[in-house]
Amino acid sequence: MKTAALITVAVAGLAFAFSASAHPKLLASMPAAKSAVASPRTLTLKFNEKLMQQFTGFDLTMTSMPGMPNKPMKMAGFKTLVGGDGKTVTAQLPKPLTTGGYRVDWHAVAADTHRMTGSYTFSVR
Amino acid sequence: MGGADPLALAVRFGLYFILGVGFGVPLFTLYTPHGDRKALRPTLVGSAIAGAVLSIAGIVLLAASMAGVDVAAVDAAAVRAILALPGIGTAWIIRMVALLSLVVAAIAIRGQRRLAVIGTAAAGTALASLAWTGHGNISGGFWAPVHLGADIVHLLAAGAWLGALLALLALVGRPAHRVSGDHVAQTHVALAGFSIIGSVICGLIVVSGLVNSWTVIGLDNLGTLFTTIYGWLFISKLTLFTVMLGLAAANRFRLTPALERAAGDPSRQMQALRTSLLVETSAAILILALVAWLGLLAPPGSMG
Repeated sequence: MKTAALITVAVAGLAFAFSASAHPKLLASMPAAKSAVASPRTLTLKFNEKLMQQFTGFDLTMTSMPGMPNKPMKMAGFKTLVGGDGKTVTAQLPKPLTTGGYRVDWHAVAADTHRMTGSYTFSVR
Repeated sequence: MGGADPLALAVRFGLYFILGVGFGVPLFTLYTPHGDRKALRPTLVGSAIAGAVLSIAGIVLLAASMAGVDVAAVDAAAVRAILALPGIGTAWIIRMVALLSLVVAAIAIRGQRRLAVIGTAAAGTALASLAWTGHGNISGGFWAPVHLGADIVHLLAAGAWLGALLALLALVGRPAHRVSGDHVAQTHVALAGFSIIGSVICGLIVVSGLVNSWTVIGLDNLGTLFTTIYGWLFISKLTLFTVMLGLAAANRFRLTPALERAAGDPSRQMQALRTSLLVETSAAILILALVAWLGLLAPPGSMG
């Protein structure tokens, strides 16, 4: 038991990293959820936790277009990046968004290793 | 929230069981004098290899769940990103190093006692590293080290108990025609020796378990225990633990003294111990399965 006690102490001494974290939550976004904006070229999502670039990002889908049948279209040609503070995800679009409805489907993983997902919509005037 | 990935559950259960045995069995040979140590070397090699394989499977499954892709689609970059995480990644690397040293020790070290000491230390390190894979790193700030420490004590104490149960089962489970007077005496010494250490282990499990449930569940959430899957699994775990305590008490205060008093043919006393230890071990294994499941669910203390 003395050995066990020694090991316990030794291993507990190794307990170096106490960086606990919770599930990432979306705090705010640009354009904001349910807002109507003038053709943006940058999308920004702000979270409450430091995110892992490898497992974090979002898809952008155009859900409606004036005068066109309602067929969702996934937008391509951009990369999502986790910003310097680790809590912001941005994407620079190749060209400003045209008039219509859009949906952002995000996924984010923080140090707690749980994959969180969510979505919101906005429209371009 | 009951839909935990069965594969992830199986890997977690396997790790708890394998590393618990890998730590508990060499430890048992250390506090049981003149015990049979023939099984020591194969036990250590077996648990090191199985532990490493399960750890690799575990990190691939984790990467798949984090990336939201199929296991086959996991790439090296995703695994590297997890390994770079300070808590869970470092713990994984330390576990692999500990398991590798366990294999090297089992091959290189001649003396049985020396091997048992090194094996206990290496397997104990690997077992303790599991504290970072469940909810051990859930609390923040001041309570984080307390919670992790309690989790490590809980893991080591549980491993010590599991290893002892299997070692004792091997003693009482020997077929009747191969049971000599010497073997009965040795079994009695082992059982009597464990009765004191077993009480210490139970004490450690209860105290560290209380700390953990306080941080993971919290007093305010005790009411939710009856309304969530997490809660019911937790209650089942406590019930099984109570069964284990009852059987341990019966072994210590009734069955072990009865074996000592047995005159002539002790087969009836051995049979009673066999049944009791078998039920106790089954309860322990069921608890590990519940713990593997619980670690994949969101605990009440993390809600809101």
